[in-house]
Amino acid sequence: MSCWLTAGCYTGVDGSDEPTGTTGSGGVTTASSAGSTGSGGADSDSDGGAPELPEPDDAPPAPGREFECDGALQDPGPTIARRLNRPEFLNSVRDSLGVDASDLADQLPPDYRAEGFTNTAQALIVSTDDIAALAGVATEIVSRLPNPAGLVAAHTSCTDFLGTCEDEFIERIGKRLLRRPLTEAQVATMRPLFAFAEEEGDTFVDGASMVIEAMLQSPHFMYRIELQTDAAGPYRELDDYEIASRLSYLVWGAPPDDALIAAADAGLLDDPDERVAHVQRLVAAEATRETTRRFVGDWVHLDRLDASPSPLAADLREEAEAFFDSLVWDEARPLTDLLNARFTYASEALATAYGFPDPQPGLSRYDLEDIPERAGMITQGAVLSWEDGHASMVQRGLFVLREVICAQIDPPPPGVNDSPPEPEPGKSKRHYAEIRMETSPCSGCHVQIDPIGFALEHYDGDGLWMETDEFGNELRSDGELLTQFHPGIPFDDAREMADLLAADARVAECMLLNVAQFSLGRRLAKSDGCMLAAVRGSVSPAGATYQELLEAMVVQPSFAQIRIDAEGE
Amino acid sequence: MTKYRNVFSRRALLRGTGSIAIALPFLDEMRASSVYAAEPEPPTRLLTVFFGEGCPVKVQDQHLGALTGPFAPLAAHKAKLGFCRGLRFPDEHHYGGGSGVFTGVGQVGDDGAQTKGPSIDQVLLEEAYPDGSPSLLATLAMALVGTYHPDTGAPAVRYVKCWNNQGNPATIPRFNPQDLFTSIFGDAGELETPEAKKRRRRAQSVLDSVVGQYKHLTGEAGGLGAQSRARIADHLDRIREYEQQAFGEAPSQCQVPGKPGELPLIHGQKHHAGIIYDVNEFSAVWRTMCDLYALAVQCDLVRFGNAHFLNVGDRINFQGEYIVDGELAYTFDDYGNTPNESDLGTHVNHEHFHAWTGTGSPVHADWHLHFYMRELSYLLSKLDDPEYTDANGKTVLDNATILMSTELSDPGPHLSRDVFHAYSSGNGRFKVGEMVTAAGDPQRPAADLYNTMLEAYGVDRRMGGGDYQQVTQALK
Repeated sequence: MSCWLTAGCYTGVDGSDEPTGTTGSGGVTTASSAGSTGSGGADSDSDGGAPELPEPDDAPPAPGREFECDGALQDPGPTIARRLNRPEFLNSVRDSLGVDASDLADQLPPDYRAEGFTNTAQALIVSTDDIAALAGVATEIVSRLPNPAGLVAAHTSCTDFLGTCEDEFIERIGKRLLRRPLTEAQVATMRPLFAFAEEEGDTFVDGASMVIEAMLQSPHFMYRIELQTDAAGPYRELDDYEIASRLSYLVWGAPPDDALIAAADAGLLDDPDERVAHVQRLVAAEATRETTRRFVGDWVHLDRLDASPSPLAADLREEAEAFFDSLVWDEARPLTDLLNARFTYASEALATAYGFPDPQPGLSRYDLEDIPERAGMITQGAVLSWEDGHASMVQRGLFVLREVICAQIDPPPPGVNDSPPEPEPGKSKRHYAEIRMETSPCSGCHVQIDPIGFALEHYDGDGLWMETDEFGNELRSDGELLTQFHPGIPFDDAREMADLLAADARVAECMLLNVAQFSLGRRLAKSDGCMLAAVRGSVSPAGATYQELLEAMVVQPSFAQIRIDAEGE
Repeated sequence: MTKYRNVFSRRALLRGTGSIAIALPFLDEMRASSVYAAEPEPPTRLLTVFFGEGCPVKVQDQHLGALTGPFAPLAAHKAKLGFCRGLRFPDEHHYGGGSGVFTGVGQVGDDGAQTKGPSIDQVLLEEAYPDGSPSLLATLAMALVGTYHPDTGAPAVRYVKCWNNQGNPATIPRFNPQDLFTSIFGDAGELETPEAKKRRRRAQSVLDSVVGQYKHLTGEAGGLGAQSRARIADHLDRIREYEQQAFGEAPSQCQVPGKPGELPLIHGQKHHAGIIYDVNEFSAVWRTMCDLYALAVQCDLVRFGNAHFLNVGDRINFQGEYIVDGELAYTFDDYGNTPNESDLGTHVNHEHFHAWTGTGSPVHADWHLHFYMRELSYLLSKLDDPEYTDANGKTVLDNATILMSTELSDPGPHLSRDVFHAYSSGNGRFKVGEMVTAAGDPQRPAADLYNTMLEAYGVDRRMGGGDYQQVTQALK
């Protein structure tokens, strides 16, 4: 959401250029202990008796507020059946049935963005039209089975309509597709499909195809189902199959593979060390990179480039994803290094546009040590391009504040329009920004937003460097970092701001919150405070790698638990 | 008794006439002369109607009471509509209006995916029919929009106005006549070959199995927590709607027109500069959708839902001659008439509303709003068609509650402090033909009106989360 600018912000524009409003009182209250809140988490090993959970508080903290832990036990957090999003659905079909259905993605229920990400449970809903489309998708997937008879033979020892053959097939294919052993009730819902095939004079394989079609629409396939049965206390320990699914979708956005299923069969996944071992195994897979590309895509809003008219849009997205892949997985560097790493990847066209010396064919790595105007994602075109390729000082500032610092920026006050004056000779964007920074009621937010944009004023809407704007105005890049977490730290240019951010504890905290939100696939709640504190306490204060965060999350007691609703909920 | 004899004349209004007429899925209570005969009251129905961009308070001051100026098209319904002013939404700006209208609450977070509570249609649906709506579709929403379509990743508060208890969309609108037609009338009834019939039986068997799994999981033995159960139950509701559309029996005399043909509009393009539409083509598509929607209500295929004319903050570059009473009243040219020619992004209707204060000479937005009101008036006319009456001899517009509103009370500064609502009588529950004022200082929450309506239906549940004061003037 854009921060709209009040007409009152520019009341001096047509006359004296002097702001006529009163200087805003600010609205910036710096936190003295940014990034340090939290007790480190309590040991919630339940061996010592019935656990006591604090009263659940599933409201999200106010934006920019710390998630706090009061020293109580970890709370597994609110439970909501989460629908597989499109990539997860397609990965599950691919891994379970060997069918590539990626061309059917648009027919699956859309993945609405919530809390910055497209895998947030609360927003993954379905419409009636989606149900109709899903039925068609399931039929199409079954029609693409490469060897239906072979698949059936691999999952049952006989193919006669005897009852036992049908049950064996349902149970064995169901364990793969539905990710856990089936209950008798589940099997019973699918037996009539074989009966239908028999009555119609069809083959056993035809009946099996109907079973697969039904399973692809089953809630146990479509959703991540965790039950609240068999529990007396405020939470239940998940069984191994539930843990296997949590772990596999967390790391690579796909169902448990054979090794995880085998570990679940053997009852090994209640051991945190075993879970870490699987994380270390799974992160080597390409699927994990694909999943984390979705993380960076959502985080940086890369989808907006798909609609950009810029001829460089695809190159910009490619740069951001290749850079992220390389830094996070090839080099396993802290996530905070994303802000200021001295390298990037660029196509020949982009390297040429950026003015890199000696552009190379294809996507190539470029060292930025000797290119002072570039450092990390902050100076990449994918981050700098907003509003259909426009260079928006406000949007750039808001991105850093909201997505990199996780700061609170209140909605703009009433009485606003979204048309700040265009630059003209003698009046750059900074000129107008400085007016609104001194004009109430704009100043409270814009003293935080605009100075970040100052650092990036040398970059045009594609992120290309310019010495002057299109009207010949000289550009400056000095500013300061003034947020509720920062008292006003000056910087001279984009690279200095990038270094400042990369070394900042609040940025490391924000990275944790973003990864946790994406990993859990639901809104973070106050009740997540102790889990987050424990994760925070177990990784490097200077900034964790993505893998470290994953490992820290899967060893938490709450990772293997589900909260049981209080009576009456 | 509901009458259907005019069905075929309606077909002329729908493109693609000449395709087969198929029988509608028909409810027992609608059959033959017993339609509603056992009901002393017509069915409980509440439909919301939304239009985007808003209307300045000063324009309301000047024209709403007498239904003149841009509101003139509503004058035809003056005797059947009541108006309430002085209502505010909790949050301002487009998203505040988009989430607050018909819910009385704001959005969750700032990304427009959810609201903090349900919309009035869903509350009344649950309270009036605790075992589920007896109609074919629990909820039906339609929307004709320009930009901010779900396919472009637009947030739900832009185009959704029916929200369930979890603050999720109760249904996603149908955005074109073809989809609306299929949602209402399904694809059943086509001439089928034996092979096609077998495929149909097969698909139904698969769906039966799927339904069985969802039913088990949402039952007492299912083992789900409250939030998960609600989510899975919502999915099951959608499956049942689809099931009835695709496989429902259709043994009635309520027949449907041919499926609409290809349309001149391409919806949902994502472009800051908006999308170009001809007003007359836009009107034709909207009216086709209105015909279908009204027929669905009159045939009791749906009792709750929303009709949505333009998105919250939609960006459309309207073009074309606007004919009123047979004469050229105005020529739409949003591109040429842009209030700010320095920015291509402002060559759209949205910017005309932002430039509109309601003072001084009439501006282009006057005609935009006039156009919007004319199209909403068309929908009201369809719902007021005397050829389709309930057992008490009254039309849907008389018997149902049709609640109409918008997003902003002053589009320029994005205020939502005095957003007018219009409503029909709900079979005598509400005063019509006059203006009532709920304003105080500060203005009353919109939820006060919604709760007043619920109370008039004998519903104890309240919306909005705050203290409730009845808007007594609205009650008959």
